[in-house]
Amino acid sequence: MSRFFYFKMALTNLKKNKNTYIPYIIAGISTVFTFLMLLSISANKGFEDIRGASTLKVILNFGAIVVGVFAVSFLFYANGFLFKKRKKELGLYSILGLERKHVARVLFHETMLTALMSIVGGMLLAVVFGKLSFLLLLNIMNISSIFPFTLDMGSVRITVVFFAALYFAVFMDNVVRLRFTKVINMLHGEQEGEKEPKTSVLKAILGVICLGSAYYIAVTVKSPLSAIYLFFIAVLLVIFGTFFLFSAGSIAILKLLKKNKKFYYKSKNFISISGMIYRMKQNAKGLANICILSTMVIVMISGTTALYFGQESTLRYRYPFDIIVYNSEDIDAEMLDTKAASLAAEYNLTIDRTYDYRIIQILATVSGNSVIPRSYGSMDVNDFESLYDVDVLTAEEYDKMEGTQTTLSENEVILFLINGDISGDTVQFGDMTFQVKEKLDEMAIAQKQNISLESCIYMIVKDQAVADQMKIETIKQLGTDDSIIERSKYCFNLNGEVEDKIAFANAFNSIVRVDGTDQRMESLDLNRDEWFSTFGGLLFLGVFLGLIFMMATVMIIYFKQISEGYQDRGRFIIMQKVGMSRKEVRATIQKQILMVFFLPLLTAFIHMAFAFPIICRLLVVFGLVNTTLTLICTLSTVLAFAIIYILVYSLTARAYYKLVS
Amino acid sequence: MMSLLEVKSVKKVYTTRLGGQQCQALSGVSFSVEEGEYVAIMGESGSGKTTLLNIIASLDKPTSGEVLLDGQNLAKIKDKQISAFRRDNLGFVFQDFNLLDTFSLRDNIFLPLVLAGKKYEEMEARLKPIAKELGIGDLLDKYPYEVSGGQKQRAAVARAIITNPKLVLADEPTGALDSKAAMRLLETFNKINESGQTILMVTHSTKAASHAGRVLFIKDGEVFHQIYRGRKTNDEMYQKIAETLTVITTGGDIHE
Repeated sequence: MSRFFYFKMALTNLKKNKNTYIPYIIAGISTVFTFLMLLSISANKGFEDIRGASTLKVILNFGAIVVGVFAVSFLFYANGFLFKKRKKELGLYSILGLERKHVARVLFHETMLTALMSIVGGMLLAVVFGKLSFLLLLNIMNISSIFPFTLDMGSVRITVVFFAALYFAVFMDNVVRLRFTKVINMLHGEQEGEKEPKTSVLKAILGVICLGSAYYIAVTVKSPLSAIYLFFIAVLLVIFGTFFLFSAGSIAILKLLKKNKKFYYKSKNFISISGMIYRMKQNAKGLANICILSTMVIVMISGTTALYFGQESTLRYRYPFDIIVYNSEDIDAEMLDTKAASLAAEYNLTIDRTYDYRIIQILATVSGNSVIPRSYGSMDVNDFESLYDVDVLTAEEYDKMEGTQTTLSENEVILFLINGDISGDTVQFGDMTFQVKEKLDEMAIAQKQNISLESCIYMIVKDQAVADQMKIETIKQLGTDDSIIERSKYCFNLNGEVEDKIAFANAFNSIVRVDGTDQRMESLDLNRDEWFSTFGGLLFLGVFLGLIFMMATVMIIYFKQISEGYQDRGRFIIMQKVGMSRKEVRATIQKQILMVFFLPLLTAFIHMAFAFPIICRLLVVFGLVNTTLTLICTLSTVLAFAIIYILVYSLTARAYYKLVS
Repeated sequence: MMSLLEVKSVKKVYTTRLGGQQCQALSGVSFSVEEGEYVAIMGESGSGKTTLLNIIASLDKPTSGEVLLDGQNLAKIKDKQISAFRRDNLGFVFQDFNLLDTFSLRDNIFLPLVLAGKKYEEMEARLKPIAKELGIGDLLDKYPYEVSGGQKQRAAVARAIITNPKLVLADEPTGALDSKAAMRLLETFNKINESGQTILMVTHSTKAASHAGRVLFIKDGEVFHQIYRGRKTNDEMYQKIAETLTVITTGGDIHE
């Protein structure tokens, strides 16, 4: 009987607070849905036969973890908001004679109901839309073989257990909050602590330092490898910096404006500035959250779309030729030429020409015009920026490949740099000095890049004797030869259909493998699937996470508008009494919310602008060197995001106006 | 000579939302207030005094009759100008202070001047004597939640008179104050009245009304009776008001 009473009371409460609980439940449903989908897809048996699916599994599982962490922080945030808003109501229960434990019981039933609706709703959504999003994934991964989507029971179990535990924790959070709030404070509800915030100079300075250094890192980072770890540092700095700046910096600026009497005591600034100072204190956290989430959404979606649409150029960057054969000994090029030609004819393909050469690769760092051989063990992260791959070719090999006649003396060298530059007429290699005879603009086997994963210098020297001398110099410098790779390469491009190229590659592979050697082959077309599934998986995850973060952003904005609407209502009634017209009040409101809500968006865009260089370099790690494509993807994401943001803003602003007037 | 405020047979009929029943809040109120007067309007809850105040404050419109402030018919003022008119001609003091918690007391007081587009120097110049007179000179940089009720109400009075309004309208100004603070506020009202400010106060506190120069009694939507101070002291005035109220509540007529 009384059990039923609590249940009924909880149900009525949810209904009564529906304009906050419905969004809360929707947020729950979409989080559950995303979590379950990611787990369930990664558990799909059908992927086991697909090349590169193991990477996908890792990506999706990683995504599920991200969603899990997000769910914890977001549900607690939203719950805290709901609790604050309902304080008065809960306080009233105490007045009416309900003890804390009774209120806790009501809260328990409420949380249970919300949890039930969210979990069941999320699952229903997975049943209905699971197949659709699964097909979408297969499609962007370029997987033609259709295998069915099944809701993996293990994943369902994990989801239920995880979210049940999470909602229970949320309930416990409520119980703790209930214990530590006095009834009298509850009755005062949202009005407590209306002090004007103090300016924290320290916080503001810290914020500027954090953001400044993050921006500095992002803009100045050169090497893609150092970009990987610097990116995480920059992200952390941006997060802290944003929080500091929103909480302290904004107030400091507003107070400065307030000090300027001429400016402050103008009717159009007067109310907005003091309102914003007041608002910033309560909102700094929320706005910083909105800003960071927005930045994350933009970074994720623009990054993954750039990777996805840049796949072909990425592949070409990673595999400069359709077929590349490696051997540490010499390659029998003539034999391969005949075999390749006959095989190509068989598969309706043509080969323009083949290249074969022997090359010595030495790891080195470059400073000024001095190339210093390095061993793997002796390097740390600071060397990434100046790390080079030195490729030594003899003039003979070079002429064979380019069809030129080159004569070099022993201390002369021809240079080709994929990126960067070495100035001066001479180059030091260890203790050897070379005169730079020529700097090439192009080479058949390599292309210039603006940014590339590893910097690379081709050094064309007189003959094998000079090349060997460089090897000896390296060993002399390092005491080891572990940073020298000497090998022969044989490579060519194919013209024709992709299917034929794949068939050719499979057939050619068995020819390439010769017993007793380490001869092996790489094929662009054989690896395409793997890359597609990796980037497709990343895009899928990017979009999924982007959507869920977007939802969180929307939810926070909505909650803010509603809670502020209630608080501002009284304020605007007073202003009207004191002699402001409705129109003036409306204009003031508009100005205030506009500034408050577009501040995070603007800041997110600034973050994004500074993050762009480092993101480009990060994408190089994945093999995407096409900066223009990245720029296009980023700009379109920013544009799309801005449109959605404005849409959400105007919708929620309407809810706000309704409350205020 | 024309009176500052003339209320001529004002009627106000409300139509209830359910069933469309008509409810007469004011059934023909007429009186006038001369410049420099201090008038209190008394009446029980539901007597129509708040409706009357809202009409005089141009927040509400009468069903019939008219209200003239300084010869200007309030009903004829365009909606666009009504807020500016209110700001320039009327000062308000409310029971619950209606101070904005986002503003310091100084800024609360400045609010109407800022809205009117006055220069900062002028605002400061106007505030100085007023703050001194009201005894809130040291509190100007504090926020409403940092000061007592009486201090809040004095700040609200300062806000009401800083625009040099023709008329200050006070709605139960002592309603939320303890007796000491109430006394102090009433003395303040007397002070600003002595310096020439016209005040119209709505109250049901006999104590508050006893400070006024004239007391109007409203009953069932009509002016039922009025008392002039003449040479009476506050105590005599109090006595007289109390007697009148007794008569009103017991339902008798008044014979002087």
